[in-house]
Amino acid sequence: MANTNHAHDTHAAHDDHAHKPHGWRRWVYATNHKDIGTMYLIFACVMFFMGGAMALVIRAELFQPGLQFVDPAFFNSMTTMHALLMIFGAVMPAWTGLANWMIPMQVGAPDMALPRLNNFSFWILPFAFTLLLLTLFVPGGAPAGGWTLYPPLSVQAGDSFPMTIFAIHLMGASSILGAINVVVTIMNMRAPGMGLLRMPLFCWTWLITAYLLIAVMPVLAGAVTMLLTDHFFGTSFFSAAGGGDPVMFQHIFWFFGHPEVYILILPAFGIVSEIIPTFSRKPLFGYESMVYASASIAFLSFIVWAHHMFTVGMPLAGQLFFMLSTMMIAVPTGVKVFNWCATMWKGSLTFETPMLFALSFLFLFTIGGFSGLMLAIVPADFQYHDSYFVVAHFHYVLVPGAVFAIMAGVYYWLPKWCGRMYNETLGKWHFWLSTIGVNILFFPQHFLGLAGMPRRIPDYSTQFADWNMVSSIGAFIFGFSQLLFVYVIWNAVRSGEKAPARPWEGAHGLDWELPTPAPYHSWETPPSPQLIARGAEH
Amino acid sequence: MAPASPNDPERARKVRRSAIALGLVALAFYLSFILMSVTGYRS
Repeated sequence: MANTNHAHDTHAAHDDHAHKPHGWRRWVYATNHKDIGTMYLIFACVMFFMGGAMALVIRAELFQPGLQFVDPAFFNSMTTMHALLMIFGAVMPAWTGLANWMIPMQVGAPDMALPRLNNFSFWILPFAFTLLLLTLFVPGGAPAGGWTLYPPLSVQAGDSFPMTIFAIHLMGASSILGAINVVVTIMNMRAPGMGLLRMPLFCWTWLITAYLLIAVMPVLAGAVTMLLTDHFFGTSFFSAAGGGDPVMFQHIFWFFGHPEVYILILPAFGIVSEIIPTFSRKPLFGYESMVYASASIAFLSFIVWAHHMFTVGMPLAGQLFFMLSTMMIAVPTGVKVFNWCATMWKGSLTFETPMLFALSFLFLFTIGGFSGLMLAIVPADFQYHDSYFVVAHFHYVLVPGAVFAIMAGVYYWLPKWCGRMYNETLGKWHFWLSTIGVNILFFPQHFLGLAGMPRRIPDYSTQFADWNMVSSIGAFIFGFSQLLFVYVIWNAVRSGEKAPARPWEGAHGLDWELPTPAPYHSWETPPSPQLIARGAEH
Repeated sequence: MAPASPNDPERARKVRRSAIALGLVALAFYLSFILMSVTGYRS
């Protein structure tokens, strides 16, 4: 166990209990980065289960051919709402929660740079998602045209339309304000001696993610504003009848949408880049190349958007450009996968739950990456487009990719957060059930897509019955195994064994130099340069 | 190197300036995409 004696400890022992608000005011008026981080994580967890329940409605309906449980309109609402909840309600807030908790601790700052803005960013979200969920009860039902909101279908929705647009605006505002806070914190609040190239990879990937958010969330806001004016104010941005162009919406949407994919996955790269070295007991291989690879991925994400819309028709030069630029993303991503493998090479590996989730991420995210390469090939995409192959692809990237990395991060940092260890046996049970469940759920969807099953349909031809049944069984295994996750975390927080200051012997970084549990106010006295140097042993 | 203080007025000014600059960048993206669509629509 590392020695954590330093000047900060004496302050921390006092500050942990001083100036700490109590009762509901602690949460409603929260300006402490840890409290706000906790609220983000709990919110994300609630949305994860609501979105997950919608996914189980979808998979229950698809268990057999024919209409079993829900009518087609409600089924379409479920696919749309599931996506909106999981992307904007679960994964993005979970990353913001982890950023809130960890970035000040990792850069040696006492808090986020703009604590009140931080409070505002969070409290927008419950209102946004209440508004979105209320659309389930209005005439015409919840939005059902897909999370991409393509016109003219989305504009023809009932009363849910303005509510959805307003909810998306609120989510976007929350994300932009959160991202501004992250950038400003990292650029202005780093402790003296904490150079940019000494920061942990999680801070780096979040810094890049925050720039992406600031650039593309306003683009989504612009697109949905134009949908709104088309619907209510007689404009024809996307209406062919009025001289507009519905394909233009697709261009604008995917200019936001593809970087959004990297917003969801870049922080995962950061977490995995911290966990693999810790449990390999080796420094991260190629730290600087990881930073440059993350920045390259972010840059490339701006010039690949039209690969989502090859089938709308575009000039051959456009097809070639977007195909090749998409394939180029494999290069920096390959650098990362190589570096993670090289970090493990000849390391002293152990397989605690965070490492298991990180390794699962490594294998399964790579599968999602490879199917992405297949989709980048224009003539092949003409075959795969709008099929279950696409569903399998992006779920491999987002579930064992982003979601597994979030879970890995929670297991990894939980002892530092609450000062208690989780039950390792139950954590491993959660891991194995999740990994087996997620593969039973999504791998058969590759076969369904290649055989021609379209996405977003409540009923299908009997030739697809067997693999759909397998996929639905996997969905229920995966879905219910997440209840175990909640139990493991709850159990740890309530009655887990007391955690040592550094529960993972291979962990490095300023976050691990703080006492356990982390004091309410971290780094009021900046860490010493020696401490920073010791933590920066990448 | 001088110790960092969260209440350092110079740093507070930098925080405020960079937050406003980033907010303006976001606003510029929002408006420019709508403007591009308007001009495209007219042509």
